[in-house]
Amino acid sequence: MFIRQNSFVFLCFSLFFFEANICFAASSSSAEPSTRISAEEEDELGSLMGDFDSAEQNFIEINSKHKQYNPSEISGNISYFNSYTLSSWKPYPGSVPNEKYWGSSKIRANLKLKYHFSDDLFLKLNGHAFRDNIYKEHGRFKYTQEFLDEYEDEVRADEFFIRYSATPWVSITAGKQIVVWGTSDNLRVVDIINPLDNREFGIDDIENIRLASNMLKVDVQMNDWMLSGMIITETEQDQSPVYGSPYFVFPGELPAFKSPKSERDKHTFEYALSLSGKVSDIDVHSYIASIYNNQSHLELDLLTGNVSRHLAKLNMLGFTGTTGRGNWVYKSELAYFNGFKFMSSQDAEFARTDAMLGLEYYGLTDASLAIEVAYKKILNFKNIIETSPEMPQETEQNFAIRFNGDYLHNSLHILVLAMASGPVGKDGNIIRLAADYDVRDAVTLTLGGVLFGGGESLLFQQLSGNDQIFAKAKFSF
Amino acid sequence: MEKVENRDNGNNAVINLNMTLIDKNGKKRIREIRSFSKDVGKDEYNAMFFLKPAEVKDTAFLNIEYRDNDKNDEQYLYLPALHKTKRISSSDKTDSFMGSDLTYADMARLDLDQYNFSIIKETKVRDKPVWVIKAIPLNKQTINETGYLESMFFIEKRNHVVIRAIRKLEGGVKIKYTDIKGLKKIQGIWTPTETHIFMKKGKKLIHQTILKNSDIKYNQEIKEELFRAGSFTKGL
Repeated sequence: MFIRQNSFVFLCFSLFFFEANICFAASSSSAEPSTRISAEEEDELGSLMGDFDSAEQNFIEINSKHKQYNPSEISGNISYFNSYTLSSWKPYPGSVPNEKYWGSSKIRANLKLKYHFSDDLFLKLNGHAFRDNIYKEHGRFKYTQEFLDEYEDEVRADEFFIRYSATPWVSITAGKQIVVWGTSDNLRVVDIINPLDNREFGIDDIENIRLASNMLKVDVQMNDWMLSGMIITETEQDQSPVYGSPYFVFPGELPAFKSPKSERDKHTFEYALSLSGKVSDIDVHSYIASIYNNQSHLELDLLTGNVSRHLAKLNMLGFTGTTGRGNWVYKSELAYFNGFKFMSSQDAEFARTDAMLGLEYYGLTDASLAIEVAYKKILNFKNIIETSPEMPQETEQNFAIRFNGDYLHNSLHILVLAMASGPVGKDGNIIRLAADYDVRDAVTLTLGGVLFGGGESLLFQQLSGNDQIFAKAKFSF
Repeated sequence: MEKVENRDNGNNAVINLNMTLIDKNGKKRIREIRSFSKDVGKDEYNAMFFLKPAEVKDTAFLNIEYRDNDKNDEQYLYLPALHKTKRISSSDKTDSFMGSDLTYADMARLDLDQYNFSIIKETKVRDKPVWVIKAIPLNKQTINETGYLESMFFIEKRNHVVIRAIRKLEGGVKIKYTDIKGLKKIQGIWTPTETHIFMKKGKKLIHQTILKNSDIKYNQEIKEELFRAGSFTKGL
């Protein structure tokens, strides 16, 4: 749900201010002779005032008693998701291409528990479970076990942490948590802390795709500045489509993944530090991190000829700036990375610079529009890595346009998101459309579609068979 | 004007807002908000935490309104689904607040310099003597920013509180009615506790909002971190 953003002034106060202002007007005007109105205007005023009385009977008695403060809170939702593919693709290896195909029939539950032991000590547990029955309907024997393990059902604790506020200025958070860096909503530049769940690329809601990481986080507030330090104790990669998935873009099975913990006898901790504050009216953030790449690269063992997947350790230095003027918000991100590895270059490491510029417009009634452009360049690019299976490009351009609108008194929420890659988007694109309708406060129905436009990029060409429409019913509590 | 600006407006206030939205078919939806406000010098800080419905629970909104016209007001929105606080910005105040019949213009200060005011009648509302004041915007820009062609305010003579308003919307077809049904003096400050707002198109009632304010407390000690966008991830 998109909460409209505007200069809101706490209502009670505002009415009071407003009254006071008018009061001034009344007082100043009362010194003058009262202005009189015509008989016609008098009739109109009488009619309008009569509307107050006739409205009395339409108002229903509402009990507005607030619940008392409760140290524990349980909330969540249960949803049923159904998708139907529009294109021709092979739903599983060796199958006959279908023209149209039921892609998902998934029941999902998200549960969130919060408990305040005291003003200073807080626990949060957030998890989910899902079951997709479509594979049983299609015949489970038609799918790889690896695929079923990933897509058929799942139970997972997403966030699970405890926070202690040692002083009003210092808090310590330990456990599985999500930390989002950066200002962009669609293109990731400095947002590198948590891996993503990309198993159903472009389909799942954004709230479901971030994967929490185990870490110890210390936040120190110094007036308008916040310093946050993190030690991440769990190295995880993005959850990617597996062999047999329609979103799997490689020609064959990928080699086994070797986590840094298992392959090297050394600590695998990751470290990250951020400093956020304000310079004039610009929100500035600076970031420094030594962190494993969330996307694996391949390594060839020259002695055995075996190929395996690994995560490279990256160092990042990043900055972001955001400011607002009138109906506009201006956003920028800049990051320098080193430590990227690719199979065809063996142990050579590569550096990359990423930049993002974004513009958001809030002048549309009950709607907003955002445009983001990102540019990435591998600084010490060599032709030899161009053919590497990780498909690195010397330069990469990404574009995103997002429209959010709330209509029918916030009952209908419209999202249009278009993302494209390559110069003028020629590598490929994705368009996501969704309309959420709140049937009542707790029940939302969603209709939408995702269209993949295959361009020059192999990745988008592989994805282009996944065009689909979807429907979801969600009950929140 | 000096008297208006220097009055006691109840600094450091905490309030619970309960909004019931009722559509033309009688379907009701409930929104609940816990709101904190604080004056820092002449600037105003307001932080709101959304409690209901479940879909927007934990969403938080911070508005910093600077008295200095050369400084841009600042707005931040914490979206729990994204795990992040967004900077936002809007000078257009015609948007609906959380789907209610209130717009942000209803809740912002009225810029007195932008209107022509005149007392058009003296009458009674619920047996209380009132002035009826007509406010006509002086320019198109004010109409565009607020969405109102003209307004009539009913002001109680005993306390100078606006207890009713009738506002014609841009386009001239819809009329919005505001009626303060509950008014209490809390810690010496006249405070609306119940407001009914309804919108009519011609003779047809198209939407209603009942706003109830409860647990209103002024001059409270409020944690400063509630007014820091960076701390919104911690919630209430």
